[in-house]
Order: sequence, then structure tokens, then C-alpha cells
Amino acid sequence: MLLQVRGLCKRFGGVQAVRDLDLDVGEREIFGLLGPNGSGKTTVFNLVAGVLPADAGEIRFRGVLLNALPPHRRAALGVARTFQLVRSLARMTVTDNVAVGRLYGTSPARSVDGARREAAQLLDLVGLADKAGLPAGSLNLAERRRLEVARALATRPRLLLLDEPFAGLNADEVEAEVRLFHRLREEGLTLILVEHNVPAVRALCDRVAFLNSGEKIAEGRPDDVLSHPRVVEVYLGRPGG
Amino acid sequence: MRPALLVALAVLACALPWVAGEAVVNWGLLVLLQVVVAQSWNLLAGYGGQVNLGHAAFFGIGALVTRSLWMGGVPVAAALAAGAVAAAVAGLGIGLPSLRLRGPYFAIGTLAMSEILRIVVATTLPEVSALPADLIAGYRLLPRYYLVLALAAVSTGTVWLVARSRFGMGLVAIREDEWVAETVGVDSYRHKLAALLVSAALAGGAGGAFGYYHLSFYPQFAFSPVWTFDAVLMVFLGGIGTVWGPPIGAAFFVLLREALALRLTELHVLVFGAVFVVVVLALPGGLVDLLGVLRRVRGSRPQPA
Repeated sequence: MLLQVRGLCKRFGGVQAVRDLDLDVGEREIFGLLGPNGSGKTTVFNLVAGVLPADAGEIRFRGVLLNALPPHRRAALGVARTFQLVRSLARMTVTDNVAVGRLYGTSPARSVDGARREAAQLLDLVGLADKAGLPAGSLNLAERRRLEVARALATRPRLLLLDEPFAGLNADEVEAEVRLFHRLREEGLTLILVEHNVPAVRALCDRVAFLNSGEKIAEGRPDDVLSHPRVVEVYLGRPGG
Repeated sequence: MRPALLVALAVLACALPWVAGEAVVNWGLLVLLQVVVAQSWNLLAGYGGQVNLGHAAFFGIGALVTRSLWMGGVPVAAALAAGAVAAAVAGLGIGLPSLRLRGPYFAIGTLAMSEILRIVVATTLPEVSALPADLIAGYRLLPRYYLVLALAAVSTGTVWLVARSRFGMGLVAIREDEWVAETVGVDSYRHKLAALLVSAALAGGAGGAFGYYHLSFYPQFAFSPVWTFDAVLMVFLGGIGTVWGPPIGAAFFVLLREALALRLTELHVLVFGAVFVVVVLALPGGLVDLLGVLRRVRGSRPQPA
């Protein structure tokens, strides 16, 4: 098991956002976290990424307890993430955005020049090679999403956390992203995504967990979970009559 | 900066005492001193994105420690080193609590600490420190000029090295987006603290040189916020976050101030305020970017038929 979550709890004031959650994600799995707004899936994401401290429970990555580790230590262990609202290092060049990842992370490059060279390869992978010298702030949304992926990959992670990677993309862009993620899995990466885009999830995920009010109410293959009666009820409401 | 130009400037700076009179050398020393203060501030603010409004505290501590030790008989090199180290220790004391603060709170916190220090110095130390007769008799301008020149070279060289290093990339990433930097593995607290310590040490060195330079010395003045805000002005004028911006800004600033102060006395401050606003609005990249801006403006003008 690459990632093991046991008994994870998080409350914000009066709201129990995550309630006693267990998750197992194996190597090279593409795992989806689904649920309506307020279900706690983003909170789970942030707990695994190290943005929020857990109230209770354990998060183990390759056997290492992540709970007390800040984000930069998790990155050094091999956990990378992207952001729901894309964040770039706007005034740095596209190359340097990725090169920073190559200089920190799990197996840092030996020099800034070396990092930039390796960054160029990653830009090729995500199809941004022609924008290499431009400031990152000048890219459009889809390009900045791909830049975020390249930057995350630059840290040579084992686990990639993707926060709504398909939000704001048109059908063609979604298809290209799905192909990219499949390719990343073939190269040995494990992916966990929080996502609302159901067709993308069906096309991409091996397994999904469906959360509601902080609890997991279904887990399994996307088709099975999405046709689970409780999931249908939560997503679409009780059937009439 | 083209290597030939750099060499020419270096030669001119080294040869200045042989080709110009004492007044010019004094002026040159003051410009170079400002270069050190400006570069040290530029390191933390331009590359690290942390606006330290209490920078004068480091200058003042360096001045106080260096001058006291030197007047007590310690050789000036050791006294200067001690001043820089003292300033760095102060940086640790200021940085450890305040670097946890985000954005404007860091600026406010550092300004407050610097002002507290200034007031403590003003109320506890004698208002002026005058050199004893033997040190006055042995006073020479030349070694002081070369000392400050060396510090200007060291501070500019430090910024140049940082800018092309892994540490510098991490700093700039923190400046652009601290969350993103953390996400890719940058320990932002440690990076900011390291930048603060280097910035403090360089400013302390400048302060030490200042303490060594002045015959009569007002301790309170070395802690005056004018050292911080002049540095801020020079850095923005020249180009924040660049290697050559601060020196260009320092030269421009001191020149302009000498030219204006004579004719306008207090009004020259008003002119500086206006210049600052114009630069920030119209030339955010600073004077180093002037050529680039002119090229862009020319390129966008419609060509005659």
C-alpha cells in the first residue's frame, strides 16, 4: 500500500468535516475522491497534502507517518500536488517554474543548469516546450494546469494529488489530460484526484471513494459506485413517487 | 551588465582617489555605502519577497559594535566582522518570531522593533561619540574608501551569486507564491531566515564602515529609519530584484539629492516622493529596465507610411 489512511478526523468549529475515514491506495492506482460540495473530499485532500493538521487518525505514505510533516517534507518524501485554482510562479519563466521542482523534491538536480535541462524534458512531456522562455503568468488556463503537472512531476514524486484537474477545461482538453494521466501511471506514478467531472472520472479512475458529510458511503469501481443507490440519492436526490 | 563596462567601472572605482579630489572621494564613499545598504535590503525584499522596514536596526547595531570595539583598541577588520556578526545575531532575534508573520505584519513588526531599538539607544547612550585624539591624528580617508568599495563589491557579488544559485531560485519561488514553493519542497521558513541573516550581516558591515568613517558619530542617527527608506527608494528606483538595480539606484539617488538639496533644501524630499511614484507606476522594473521599456515603446509605435 502506497498510502494508508486510518481513522482520519477533522473538525472546523461545529462542523465535523471528516469522520473516521479509512483509505487504501496501492501503487500505480488512479484513485478518485468524489462527493458533493461540503462532503469533505477537499479537506481529506488537504490533510494528505499537509495543508491542514489532522485532529485524529493516521496518514501513512510508504509506511512513514505523515501527520506532523509540513508540505515541504512531504514533497521530499514523494508526495506532490496541484491546486484547484491554478497557482504559478507568475514572474518566473515556464522553464524556471519546473526547474524549481527539479532543485527541491525527492532527488534534486545537481545544478541550476542541470535542473533547467531536465525541466525542458518535462515541458516536452506536457506539451509546453514552445512556451519555455515565457513568463508563466502569460499562459492560458489549460497551459497553466499542464505547467502545474510538470512542476509537480519535477519533484520526482511517487504520489500525485490532483485537485479538480479537469475544472474549466473543454472536452478536447479533458481528453488530453486523461491521456497524460494514463501515461504518468504507466511511468510508475500513483494518482489521487478530487473531481466533479463524472465522464473524466469514469475514463480515468481505477477505483473511487464517494464521500458525504465527511463519511465514506461507497467505494469501488467508478461504474459501481456511481450506480450505488445511496450515491445516486446524494447526487441526484430521492427518486420521486 | 556587459563585462567590459563592469571592468571599466571597477577600474574607475579603484582609481578614483588618484584622479579626483577628496570631496569626490567622499561622495564616492557615500554612494558605495548606500550600495551596500541597498543590496542588503534588495536580497531579502527583491529576491525573497519579504519587506523588512526595520533594516536600519542592522545598520545601527553594526555601527555601534564596530565603533565601540575599534575605539577600544580592537583592529578595525575584527571590529567590522564583529559588527556584522552582531547584526546577524540581531537578525536571528528579529527573524525567528517575525518570519512566521505573513505579508504586511512582517513589515510592521520589523519597523516597530527597529524603532524600539533606536529609542533605547537614544535614551541610554550619550548623544555623540567623538574620537580620541590619537585616532583623529591617525585618520586617513583612503583606507576607508577602499573598505567601503570592497563591501560594495562583496554585497553585489553576494546578490549575483544568490540570483543564480539553487537557494536563489527557492527564494524567488517563495516570493512569487510561498504555498507553491512549499509544495515543491522548499523549506520557506529556513530560506527566509537565511536571506534575513545574510541581509543583516551585510547591512551590519555597512553600519560598521559608517562607524569607522565618521569622526563624530551620533549613535541614534545610525538607527534612523532614513537608512531603511533611502535603501527602499534606491532599490525601487534602480530595479528591485535585480543585481545592478541597487547600485544604479544608489548612484542616481545620491547624485540627484546632491543636485537638488542645494537648491531646494527641504523640498527635495517632495521631489523624491514624486520620482518614486512615477517610477513605481511607469517604470516598475526600475532604471535597469529603461532600455527595455524604450525598446518596447518604440516597437509598438506605428511606422510611418
